[in-house]
Amino acid sequence: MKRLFLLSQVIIILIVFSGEVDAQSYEIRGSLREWVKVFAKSPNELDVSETRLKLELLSTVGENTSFKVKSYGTYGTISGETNWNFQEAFIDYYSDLVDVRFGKQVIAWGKADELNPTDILNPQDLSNITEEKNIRKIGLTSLKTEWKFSDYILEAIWKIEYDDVKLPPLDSRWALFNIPGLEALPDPDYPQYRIQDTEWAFKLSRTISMFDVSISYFDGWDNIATSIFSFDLIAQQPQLDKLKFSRTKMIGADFAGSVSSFGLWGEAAYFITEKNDDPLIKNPYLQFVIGSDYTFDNGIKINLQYFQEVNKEKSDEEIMSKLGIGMPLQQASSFRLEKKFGEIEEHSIEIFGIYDIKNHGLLFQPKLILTPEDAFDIELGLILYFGEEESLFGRFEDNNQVYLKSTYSF
Amino acid sequence: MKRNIIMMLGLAAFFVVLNFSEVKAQETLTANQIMEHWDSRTIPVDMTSQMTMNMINKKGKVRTRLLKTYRMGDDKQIMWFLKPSDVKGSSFLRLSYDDRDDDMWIYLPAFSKVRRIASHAKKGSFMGTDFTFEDMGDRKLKDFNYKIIKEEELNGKPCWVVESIPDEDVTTDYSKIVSWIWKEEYIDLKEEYFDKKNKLKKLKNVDIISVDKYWVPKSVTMENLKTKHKTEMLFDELEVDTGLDEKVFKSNYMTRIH
Repeated sequence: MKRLFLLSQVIIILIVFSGEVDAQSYEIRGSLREWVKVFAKSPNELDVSETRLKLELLSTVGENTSFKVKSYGTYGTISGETNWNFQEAFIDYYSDLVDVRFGKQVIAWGKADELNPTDILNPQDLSNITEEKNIRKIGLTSLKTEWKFSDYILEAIWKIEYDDVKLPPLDSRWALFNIPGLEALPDPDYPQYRIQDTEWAFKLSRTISMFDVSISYFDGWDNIATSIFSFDLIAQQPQLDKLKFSRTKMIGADFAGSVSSFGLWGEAAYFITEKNDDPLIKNPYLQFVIGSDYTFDNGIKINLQYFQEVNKEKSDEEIMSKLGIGMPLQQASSFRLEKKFGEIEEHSIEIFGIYDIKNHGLLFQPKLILTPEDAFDIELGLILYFGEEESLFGRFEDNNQVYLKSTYSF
Repeated sequence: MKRNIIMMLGLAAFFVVLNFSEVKAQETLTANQIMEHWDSRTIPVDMTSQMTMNMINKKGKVRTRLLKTYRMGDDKQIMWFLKPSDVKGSSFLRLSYDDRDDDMWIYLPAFSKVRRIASHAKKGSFMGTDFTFEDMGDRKLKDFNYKIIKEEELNGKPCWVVESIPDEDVTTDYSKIVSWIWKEEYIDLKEEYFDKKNKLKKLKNVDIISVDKYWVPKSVTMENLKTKHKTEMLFDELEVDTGLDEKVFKSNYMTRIH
């Protein structure tokens, strides 16, 4: 699989640089971000202190070809480490019938806000769960084609590269779950580098009256491995043997449009995992989100969503979903209040929250974003967690945070 | 010779009468007829341009946006932001229809998603300018009731001043729009926008130039009279009837690299 990845990157570079130099135009752009985040209960304790440089190289080659490379270089003050991550590196080719994008890329699916059951094509790096979703996503080498016929667009995707969700370490204060007696998870058994182990996806979209609608299908691997336990006769307790990924199919659908003065959207995904007797694999399950937004005359915008996961067996509710919205929630609602202000509405104040209805927990994120100059903004915010210990957000009740972030784009 | 003179006089009289009757016809047009002409005036089949948007506050501080825009008639418009760097790559697509509200989408690269703009959000500012999404859209002729208020010259151009009042069931941010329509070409050269309390809220001025056989805007300025803030749209590199393909006005085009 890694060879395939390297080969594809080499092909991209060769294609791009073999074009006529005169017909090419290059551009480098990006941003520099400083981010400091401290724990509210112990303000001397830094959770994040980092400098992040985003660099994008873009080029168009003639009228029908372009390429883009997007990378992040991060220096962590706490660890003293620097690392570079290429999130995207792809080439586009456009024609009347089909648009092709080949290379390492992020593909965003779904029309809901933040909670997207169908947005499963790129796993997320959750080692810093408060990072922005678009940065958390791990780019993967894929071939994406968009076929245009009549009013329809058919996306056909072949995912050549596989990666899984990067979970916070089990011994960290951000661990999403604990396994008694285990401080770290072993490396999982990744799918083999074979054509039959690659992943496929399709999406058919069109606009019907005032609604954008789409249906989708995915045949691939879970983004989170399932723990396989055996019983240790000597210790007389279950023992984690290995982590294994299961093959899963998804049938999805979404829509977004307007009804009267309200924006309205919905997104649903039905997951069918390969036949398996493992009690830690739930099968099948459905996740759906419905949402609506409204803008008041004073400019305040409100957005409300309801999310639910439906399982065939009641006992499956306790098992973590390996695909879908990427959070172990069963029933939740989210809200977002936003008000822009300033002469050109360059500043904004926003309150975002997710309420875990089933387990009574709350994530509450107020923030103020000031843009004193074009391309420069300062963000000051709080990330607060409330709830019972067994709820997702209640686990982090001691992790309430204050942060300051400033970004300069160039 | 005499016969020739009589013929020429006859012809001259005919043209005078014809011209007079044209003027007479113009003068007797109703407000609805004027607006029908305005709606069906000759416009380029397609138009491409580079647009500079200057947002100017009451102290004179200017923030600038640079865009590339494509239009097809009045019905289709797509634009990509080229500057400043924090909005570069963002794009906007509008498709208008005779029988229903416009469809609008916006693409913000940070989210990697094309998002539909809900109808209620159209009263919001277009990327921080003094134009709302509604202002950027196509005004439907049937949605308003029209009345001629007066006739006057604007920058040497004779105009009808027409008041447009929206029907009750129309979603709009305005209670009234007053337009100065140039009699010769049926182009709006100035517009006053009144808020729901019927107070004058915004003022739009349009400067036009002739490109090939068309009159097109060279600059459009929208001033918010309450905040004293204004936005100038200046059009450069104007090209008309370039044979633009309809496929450009599809949502998948919004995400392309420019």
